[in-house]
Amino acid sequence: MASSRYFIKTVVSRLLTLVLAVYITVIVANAGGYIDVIYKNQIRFAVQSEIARNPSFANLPPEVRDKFIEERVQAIIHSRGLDKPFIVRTLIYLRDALTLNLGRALVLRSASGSSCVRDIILERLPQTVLLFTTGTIIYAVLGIYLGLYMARSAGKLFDKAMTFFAMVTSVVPAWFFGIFFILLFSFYLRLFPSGGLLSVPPPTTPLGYFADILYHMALPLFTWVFTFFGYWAYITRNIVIQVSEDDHVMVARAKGLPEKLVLFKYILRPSLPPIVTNVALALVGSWTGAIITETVFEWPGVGRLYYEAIESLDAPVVIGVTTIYAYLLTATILILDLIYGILDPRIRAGR
Amino acid sequence: MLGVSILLFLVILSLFVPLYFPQKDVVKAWNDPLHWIKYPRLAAPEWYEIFVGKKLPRNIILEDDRFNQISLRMVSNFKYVKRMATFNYTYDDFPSDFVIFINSHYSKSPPYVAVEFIRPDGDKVKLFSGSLNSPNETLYVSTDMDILSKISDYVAKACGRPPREPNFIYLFARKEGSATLERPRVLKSDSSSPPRPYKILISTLFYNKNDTLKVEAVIYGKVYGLAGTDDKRRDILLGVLWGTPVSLAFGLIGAVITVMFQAMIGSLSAWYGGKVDEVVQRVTDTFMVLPFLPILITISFIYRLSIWTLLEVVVLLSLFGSITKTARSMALQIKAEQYIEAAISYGASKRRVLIFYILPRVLPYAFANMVITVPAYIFLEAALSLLGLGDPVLPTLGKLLDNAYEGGALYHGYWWWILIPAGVILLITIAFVLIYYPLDKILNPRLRER
Repeated sequence: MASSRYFIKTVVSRLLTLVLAVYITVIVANAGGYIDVIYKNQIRFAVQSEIARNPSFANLPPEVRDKFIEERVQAIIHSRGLDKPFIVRTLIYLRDALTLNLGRALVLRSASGSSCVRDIILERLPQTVLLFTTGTIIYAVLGIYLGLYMARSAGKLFDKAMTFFAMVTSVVPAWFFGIFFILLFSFYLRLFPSGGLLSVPPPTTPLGYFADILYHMALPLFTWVFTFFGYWAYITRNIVIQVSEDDHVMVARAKGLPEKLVLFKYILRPSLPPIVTNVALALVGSWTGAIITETVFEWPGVGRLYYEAIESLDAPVVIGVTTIYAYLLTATILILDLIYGILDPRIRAGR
Repeated sequence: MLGVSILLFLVILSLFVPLYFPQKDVVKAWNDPLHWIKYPRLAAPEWYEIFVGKKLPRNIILEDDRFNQISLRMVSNFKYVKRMATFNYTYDDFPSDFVIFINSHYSKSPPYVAVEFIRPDGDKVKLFSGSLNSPNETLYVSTDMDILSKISDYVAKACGRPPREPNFIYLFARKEGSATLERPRVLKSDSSSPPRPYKILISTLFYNKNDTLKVEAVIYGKVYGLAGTDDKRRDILLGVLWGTPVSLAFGLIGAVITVMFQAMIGSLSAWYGGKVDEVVQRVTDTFMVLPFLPILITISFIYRLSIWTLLEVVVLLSLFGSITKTARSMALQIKAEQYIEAAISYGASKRRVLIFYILPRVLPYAFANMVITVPAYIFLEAALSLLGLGDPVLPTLGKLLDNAYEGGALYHGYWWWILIPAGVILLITIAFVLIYYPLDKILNPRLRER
């Protein structure tokens, strides 16, 4: 009974968190109502200039004309739902976002001309997944492998150097290394293009197209892996060392079990849950890309879309990306919570 | 220790700004294009020539008092003055630009001015002759079409044919046959014996004997100072010296406030438990799901924040986070220890236990986190600057990087413009990591090498 109450409590509190986070995003993306003011002014300006251009209104007395303009403006504001109070509309936005009814973008368009937020996001998603999810998988695998090696040779020079490297790279963001690498590999060595997804004009054969994308992807991918693998090696090392100092490992060794068995069954298995959590969260995070890294490498992904949406005050797109991200993140955390709740009774009790 | 020394060094260096740059209002000077007019544009640092193996040209500024009067003739009310400045040019490369600033005071009609450039080999090139159009006249030798065609005419006479592209550098070029037109070489003023300098001759005919004329000639170099200059001719060293303390302050204030707050709230949440704990946990979860950077970008995009307002927003957005969680679980462990029980049993109040028994145990962890968070905030400021959302006037390390990025430094190879501010940021980061490195070992005793 206690465990089912734990599960319900976990789900409810996570969902509450999600709703709160999306609602805050709705308010911030609409600049707390400031964007409404901009839109109302835009509508008024459009109506005024339209009427000023139209010669059939030129002879009307000013009061009549102003009245007409006012009616037109109010009609458009009403048709767009801008006349409702801001708080009411944020709740409508929140409902739409939570039901994944992402709506239409205000300014941005997809390459095919669609203003559907879903189309716009789906168009950018493959590029981001291609670069960042690939990169995340590579650095996770590389990092975990190196971390195991570091844990085994803890205290040696390699371990110390890697630890220092990991601490530096954990603070330095990817775009910063990106700038160095563009200068070095693109400008001085001329090995890779400095940015973009494809050459201009793009190759016509499918194989050439694919190779061209890989060629453009190499530098940002290298940057992404370079930035994160050290830190991953470091946290893997810490987890593994912590587990291998545990009493059960000492007992296993004392029993004279073969070192390989101790490593896999007594050290690696208890180390896996936190490592799996990290991998899962990193993979979920990878699909929103990285705003500044994509800017530096001119990579047309979701991160760049995020920034373009902010720059053009396109609230529906900002809310759309955030909501999908919040959903995925919450789902992942929930699944992990539940799995560990089932697997590890200590967690249930700890709450 | 090394980390602290690096930071001290950087801070002390910035204290020397008033000596290095006596201007009172550095920020105003930094944003004033007129202030930098006599600095070379996009000049590399002077020490770059060690790697090139050539003597690269420095700035040569010939101020008004360098133009010595060599003749003066008065006829009725007219005044005819000849003034000449000499300078040596001994560099292996051509100057990057050449500008002559003329400023005159006259009562009725502007004076008639002729500017002649005399090379060490004795050749004379007339750059300008005519009445001034306004009291302040500037001769842009490298771009003025009239002057350039006069130089081309001179080259045609001296070498037999005109150069393919008009260029002012032929003023400083050797004339050994027409081959030099393709790859001109510098005519150094010490190459002849005895060495003869370059000369600039200004002849002025004033229409009133009280009229005056001030001249200043600037032969812009290709290297400048310790850190070079940017595309607005600004001295990057000044930007770095001024920006380092600003960025450091941003990082320190942000890190101290947010980490301390998170650690305290985390401990408090664990110690009081119940409703307090529940609320803190939910708020922290919400903060951790919120997309921090996009929200920050949205706010700074709409409101165009100065760096200090930006800092307030950053702090507000990071009041809850992963440190709250870690501090909470640390405090939960500490809570179960016996000395806490002892304290409660002799009647210590809840607040006393929190402040004197639990917080001191959490603080070292918080301190270590602070150390490693400082560079993270410095990078955050740089990231926002790179998106064009940095402080509008203040030169910070991030703004310098942004200027370089916007100015295409990456694609034209103006390495000093990018690498010097980036290098300082990296140096600060390494300094903090060096301070953090031993702390990490102390805080995770189980991770100490076996």
